[in-house]
Amino acid sequence: MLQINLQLFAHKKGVSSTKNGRDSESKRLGAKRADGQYVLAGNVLYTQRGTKIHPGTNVGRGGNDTLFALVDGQVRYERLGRSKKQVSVYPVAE
Amino acid sequence: MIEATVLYSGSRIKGIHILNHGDPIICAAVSALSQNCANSIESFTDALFTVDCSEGDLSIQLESFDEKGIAEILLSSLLLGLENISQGYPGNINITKKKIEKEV
Repeated sequence: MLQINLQLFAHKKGVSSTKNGRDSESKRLGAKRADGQYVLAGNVLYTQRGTKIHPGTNVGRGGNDTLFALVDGQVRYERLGRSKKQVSVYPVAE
Repeated sequence: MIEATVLYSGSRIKGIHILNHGDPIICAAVSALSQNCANSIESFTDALFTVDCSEGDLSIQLESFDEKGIAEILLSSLLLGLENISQGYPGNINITKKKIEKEV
């Protein structure tokens, strides 16, 4: 009785080739400060590609879309319109 | 391109010789059909037959027909499958028919 070998008529035996298997170094994107956290001016709040999160009050946007605080204060993640989000920094009253 | 040669004794199918390589999907289908045909002849008939199965080459040849003619049906079924695949996937299987003996 033959043990069925599905590769009996195959060019290459048991060789599976894939064109995938490559990936770039992950860039650890995402939130760097949480909602409600106290930050200093210049602190990075969110690293991203494009504007997943938009800059809100007292927040600047760098050349690579990184969001950073323009003033010392507390971080707030807010809604922007129906489907967008923004991050703002509100100075804390002394 | 997979080459299938069907052997006839008169009008009765007496064997099939399949060789060469093919596209992986075609290869798997032809492999399954042909090897299962050999196993079926062995399991369900008392026909005397030889099967030669090596790398990229399979040959099934009846030495004698079984009374009920089941072996012929199984070989015809294999041929049907090969023809069907050949029509569905043109350019992958070349089937030729060959008379090897006068009908006894």
